[in-house]
Amino acid sequence: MSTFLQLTFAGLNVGFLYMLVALGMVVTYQVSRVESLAQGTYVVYSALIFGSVRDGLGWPLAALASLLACAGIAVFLYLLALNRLATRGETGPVIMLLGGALLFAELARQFWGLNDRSAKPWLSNEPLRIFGATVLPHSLLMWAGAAFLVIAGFVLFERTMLGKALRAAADDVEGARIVGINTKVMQFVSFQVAGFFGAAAGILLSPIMPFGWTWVFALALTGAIGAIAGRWEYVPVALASLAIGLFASYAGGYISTSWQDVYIYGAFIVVLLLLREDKRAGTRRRHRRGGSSGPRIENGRATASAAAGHNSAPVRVPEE
Amino acid sequence: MLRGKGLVAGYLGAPVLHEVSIEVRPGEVFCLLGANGAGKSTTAKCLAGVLGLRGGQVTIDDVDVTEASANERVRRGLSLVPEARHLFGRSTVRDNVLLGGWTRSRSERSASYDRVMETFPQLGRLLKRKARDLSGGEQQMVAIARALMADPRYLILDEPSLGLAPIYVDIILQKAAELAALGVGVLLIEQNVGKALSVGHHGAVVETGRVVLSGSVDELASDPAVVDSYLGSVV
Ligand SMILES: Nc1ncnc2c1ncn2[C@@H]1O[C@H](COP(=O)(O)OP(=O)(O)OP(=O)(O)O)[C@@H](O)[C@H]1O
Ligand SMILES: [Mg+2]
Repeated sequence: MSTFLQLTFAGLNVGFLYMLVALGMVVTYQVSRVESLAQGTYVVYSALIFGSVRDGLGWPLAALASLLACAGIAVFLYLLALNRLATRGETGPVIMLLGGALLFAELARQFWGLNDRSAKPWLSNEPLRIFGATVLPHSLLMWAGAAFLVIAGFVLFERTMLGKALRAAADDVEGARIVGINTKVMQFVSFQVAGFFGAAAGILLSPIMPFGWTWVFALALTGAIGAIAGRWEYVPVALASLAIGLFASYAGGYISTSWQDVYIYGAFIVVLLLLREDKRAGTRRRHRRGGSSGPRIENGRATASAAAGHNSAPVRVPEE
Repeated sequence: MLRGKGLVAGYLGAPVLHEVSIEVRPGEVFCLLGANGAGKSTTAKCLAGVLGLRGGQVTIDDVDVTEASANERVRRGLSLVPEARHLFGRSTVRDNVLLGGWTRSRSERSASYDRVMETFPQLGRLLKRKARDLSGGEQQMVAIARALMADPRYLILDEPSLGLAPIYVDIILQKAAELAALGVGVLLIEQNVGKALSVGHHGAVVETGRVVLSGSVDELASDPAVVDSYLGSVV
């Protein structure tokens, strides 16, 4: 029981981390239609900057420094990915963000070296005992902060006019413009929200988890797995990411840490295969290979025969 | 007055519009007629700012908006119901309509919403559906409702009757006339030329990107060329 609880606590730390990373990707994708593989950058820079200036400035100013840095990085990545040249081709923005992540990972290596670093805690470092397991006050703060952010993000995204406009901006760009939505501003906002999620994760986790340059891509990968498993929808992605964190922790604790990644990716492949089987009608735009014999798409809506569905795998229709 | 002056525009290839000039006065329905491919929708897109100009000028109430983006023009009182509808397919009907009032305050938006829903009571039972799951005619109603949410001073309706049953066509055209009576300038592009002219005040005919005829609806309706090409034996 206490081992299970201990693993759960550890799993929640990474689970909430993956969740914030994956939700940053979801927000960027739902508003700007870019799979942001640079999402790990925010977490790493936020954590490392926080750790570096925390002793000199005190934690509140250090947190502010991390948030500002990430806002700046978000501006840079927005300009990098969504400028006129990059958006000419369909894959341009993704490639640009991948390049951006490479750049920031390399810079982090130059500045902070090869080893992972953590920050000095600002809460008590005395673990609390809960049912035989121990948990640091900083972990509790991390869970509370992350849960708050995720819920706040949900309310903003799903329940406010701004949220509706944010999603509309990607759904139909021309439609958005003719109702007066400035789609560029919306895209900019999506990058800032994503940056803020990452920054918060970095600040909240830096006292309990060491970060370094290699995390830029590790996080992008895990975030992408959560985002894909949850089909780029806010709530499913949040749950999937949390599940991945917990799963990794249990797998590491009960089986072996050295094979942890293998379990994650193995489980991911299983999830992907299960998703392929799931063919609920009308939930997603579907396009099938195989020409005339297959069901057709008309006006983005699957016809009755497509709804009935059979073997061939669904492929996402590229959005304009 | 909504005015396009010497509009030159096109897509990737050769220009489609060759110096089209058009004036829509507040309080009137202006009918833009022409054969398929003549450039009516292209004119609408240029006025609304979703298609860039190669030449010419667009003004709204004497304010030059040629350089203004489509979303800025909405704030200047211009709304477009595009031929292709451009609804937010993944959003609900309710959200689509509400987003039409994006540029307005919360209270204005909810007041407009109630009024628009009175105009289109049929939308009431569709509110929770995703826009992409509606029929063509239902989508058209949502597109018009969305445009009305902005409470525009100038409204461009590009084939609003597309996909609508005849009874709704009459309702829509009636609505256009009512809006004009309230002072809105309506630019109406419509295949039902007879019906359009019956609610219109002025109009113009475009042919291969040029205005070949313009005047009051009575003048247009009695012009032999218009009668031959568009009205036939209908009137
Ligand atoms: N997106 C586009 N790309 C390239 N050419 C286009 C595009 N849209 C329209 N055209 C061309 O521009 C010309 C004018 O088109 P437009 O849509 O303005 O015609 P229209 O008068 O609205 O016709 P309809 O009555 O069929 O709607 C046509 O020759 C058409 O082929
Ligand atoms: Mg047209």
